[in-house]
Order: sequence, then structure tokens, then C-alpha cells
Amino acid sequence: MLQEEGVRQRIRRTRAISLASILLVLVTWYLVTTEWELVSSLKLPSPDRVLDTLVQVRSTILRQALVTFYRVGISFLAGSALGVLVGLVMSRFRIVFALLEPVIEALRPIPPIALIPFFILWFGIGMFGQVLLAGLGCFMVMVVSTIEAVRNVPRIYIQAARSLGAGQDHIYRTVILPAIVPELIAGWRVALALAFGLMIAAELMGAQEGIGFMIMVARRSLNTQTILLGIIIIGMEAALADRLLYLFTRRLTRWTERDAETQV
Amino acid sequence: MAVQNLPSPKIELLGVSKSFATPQGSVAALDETSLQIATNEIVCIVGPSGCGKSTLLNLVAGFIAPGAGAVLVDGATVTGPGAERAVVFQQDSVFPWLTVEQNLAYGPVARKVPAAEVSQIVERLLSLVGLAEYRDLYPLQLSGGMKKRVDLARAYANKPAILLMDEPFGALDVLTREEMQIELLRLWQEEALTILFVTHDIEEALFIGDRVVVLTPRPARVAADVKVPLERELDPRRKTSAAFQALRQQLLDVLGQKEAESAA
Repeated sequence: MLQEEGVRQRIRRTRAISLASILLVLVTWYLVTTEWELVSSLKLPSPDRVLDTLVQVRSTILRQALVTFYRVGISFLAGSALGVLVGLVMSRFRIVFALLEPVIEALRPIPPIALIPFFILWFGIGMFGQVLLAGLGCFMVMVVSTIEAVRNVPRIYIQAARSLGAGQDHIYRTVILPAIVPELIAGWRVALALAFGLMIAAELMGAQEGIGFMIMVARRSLNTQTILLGIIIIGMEAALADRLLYLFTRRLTRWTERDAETQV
Repeated sequence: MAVQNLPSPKIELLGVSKSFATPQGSVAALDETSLQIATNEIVCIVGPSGCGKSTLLNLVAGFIAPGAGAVLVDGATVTGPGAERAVVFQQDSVFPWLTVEQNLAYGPVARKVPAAEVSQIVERLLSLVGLAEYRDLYPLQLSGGMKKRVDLARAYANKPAILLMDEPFGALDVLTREEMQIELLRLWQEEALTILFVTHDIEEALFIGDRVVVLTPRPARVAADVKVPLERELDPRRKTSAAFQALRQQLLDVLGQKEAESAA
């Protein structure tokens, strides 16, 4: 009981520190733009102007935010699911590995952003090309993460499973797959952030909807408060998505020591 | 005595040699080692560390193949791991992502035993090793000794004919270790099978084994093969009896002598 109380206190304290850190940024922003007027409102709009903009365009902005979130969600889910699957199949079958590895290694260093002009040419400025681009980014991250995670599965578990009578496919389902999940979490988080970045880039360069599109339109009229509002919303959406991912992965890793402190 | 009546040994090593490639060149682990183990016999292998005890066990388990000679089980050459030869390692090999109950069920499920039978096996073992109240816990929540119990019960769940144990209790503290030695003998009296038990602890070997085989330093050959003439009682106090200690000293002398020879 005592220990539990201590843990709770520690959690409360770290939360307070995190909150203070956000407040500090907001206060600095306010002081620099409004109180001390160190920069012009064009170069860095003040918090109250951004807030005004939010109130003015709240219904459209909600719609744009949802569009972006939805597209990122689909890209991330499809891209990383396919990435994990391909990574597993490559680890399982030598031939598939020999076949795909050179192609993936050749494509991997290319920033997907460089592909945007082609994607627009091939798929137009609709949702498909954008989801494909962000999904491709997630796919690449997860293929590599999965292959590395499979390599790191302790051999002892595989030997134990084999001597208990499990065949290769059964081992992949019941040993490799659960064992790699904790190692995939880092990959998933990287992939999710990347999906947001790529989606916004795609929307900036050619789209009809979304936060990136909204920022691009505002840029034409030097409407910096809308641009800043868009940036803040992207940040909030990414943080929300990361949180959802955390809640999901916590369910999958109850057997690890990851959250030992909060579980006590 | 029963050994002579048996038509063929359960496990037989015939002039087995095995060497490993290392950066320093080839190192011989076993050199024309021969050994016979009768059905339901408990044979303990002792020897200096790094002498090739584990290699011997891994050959019988089918994790590695011999360089020369033959490893036979029931007169047939071992070609790979099999469920009839269960392995308990020194390292913790209980699957951490499965609960105690799921761990015990792993082998039977992998071998597609009907569900009703699986739960019957699991129930029986849970109560036999005293883990019934911990069935829904993950290994993370168990002590080292309890994890070893799970490991042992998981091996037994497959109803193997042979149990291969590679310094299984080496990582446990002295008291837990003694408990597990008794647990093992208790299980063996309940359900007899052939046990090949590798250890570097002569006392443990004498307490558990029907026979103790002493190996020479690398490359391992059989230096002594001693029948333990003592009554098998499940009382650790037996270890302090004069007869027990005399036998222990005798084997220590063989070990020391062989080590001195190889050093010379």
C-alpha cells in the first residue's frame, strides 16, 4: 500500500512537470509576441490572434483536421501492418529475403517526399496518392524493424518450442510474433510520426483537403495565424495518435517489465 | 542390474566426436565419446566447465549433429529435436508472453492434442507441482524457483520418454535448488522417464543420479562411470551422510586428477 502511494505520488509529480513545461512554452510565446512585442505579428502571430482564428474557422478546421487524421490513420495501419507481414515472411523464407532485400535496401534511403511529384503525376491530387506515400514510409520503417526484431528473439525460446514439438510455422505464430512486439513499439512510434510528416508534405504539395492544404492556402495570402494554427493542430493530432498507440501497445505488452512501475 | 536384462539402451552414443569452428581454429568438444543410458535411468554428467557436457546434451536433443559417430534413441539415429525428448535449460526459457497455464499447454497444443485432453494434462500438472493458484500469472510475476517449476511441468506436459536437463538449477539459490532437486525426483517417482542431467555440482549429481558419469576436460571423454549405490530418499540431509561424502570425495579426486593431467 505504502509503495503504491509512493508510485502514485511520483506519477502525479511527473505529470505536473510535463504540464509546467507546456505552460512555460505558452507563456514565453505570449510574452515575446504580446507583452514585449519582440517580433512582428506577421512573423510570429500572438496566441490570442491564433485563438481568434480558431474561433472564426472552427467548423472548417475541424473538418480538415479529421481528414488529415483519417488519412494518416489509414496510411499507418495499412503500411505498418503490411510492413510487419512482409518482414516476417522475409525472415521466415530465405528465398523471399534474397528476392526482396536488395530492392528494399535500394529504395529505403530515398526520402519518400522526393516521390511526391511522381505520385501527383501518377495518382493525381486525390487521397489515394497521399495515403500511398505515407503508407510507403510506414512500410519501409516496419519491414526493417521487424527483420531486426526477429533476429533479436532469444534462440532459447525457439529451441524450447522446437523441443516441445512445435513446427516452424507454429513457432512463427506463437513465439516469434509475440516476442517481437515490444521491439516493434519503437518502430511503430517512428512510423506514426513519419506518416504525419509525409501526409502534411503531400497535402502541401497538391491536395484538395486537409491541414496541409489549409496551410498552403493560407500561405498564399500570408495568413500566418492560420498557418500557425495548422501547425499546432498537427502537433496535437500527432500527440493524440501517439497516445492511442501507447494504449494499444500497453495491452499487448502486459507480460513485459515495460510498465512495471505503474502496475505495482 | 536391470541394465543387463534390457535388449537395447534408451539412449546410446557410439564414438561421438564433435568440434566447433572458432576464430582460433577448430576446437574439439567431444572425442569418440560413448555412453549408454537405460530406460528410466537417471544419469548425471559432471565435468569441468566448458568440457563439452552441454554439447553432449545438445546432440541427444538434436539441436546439433555429431561430426563422427552416432547418437541413437531407441536404436534410431537422432535427426533433430522431437517432443519425446523434452529439454530444460539453465537459462530461463519459460515463454514470458504466456501465462503459467498457457506455458504448460504449449507442447500438447503444438502437437494438436485435443483441447479436452490438454486441459486435463494441464490441471494434473498444475496441482502436481503446486502451481494451481498461480495459473493466470505471467512468468514476470513469479520467483526463479516457481519459473523452474513451470519449466519442468511444461516439459512433463508432453509426456516425453526422455528428459534432457542442462544445468537446470544452476541459476537458483541453494535452498530453491534443493527444493527443485526433490521436486524432480518426486515427479520422476510419479511418472518415470529417462533423464540425462548435466551439472557441474557433484553433490547434485549424487543426490539425483542412478549413475554419475565424469567427463575429462575438453575434448570430453568418459573419465569415470559410477553407479550410485545409495538409497534414493527425498531428504537433503542424506547429502551429509558418510557414505555420500565418501563417494563425493572419490569423484572429486577423479575430476581433480583429470584436470591436473590435462594441465600438464
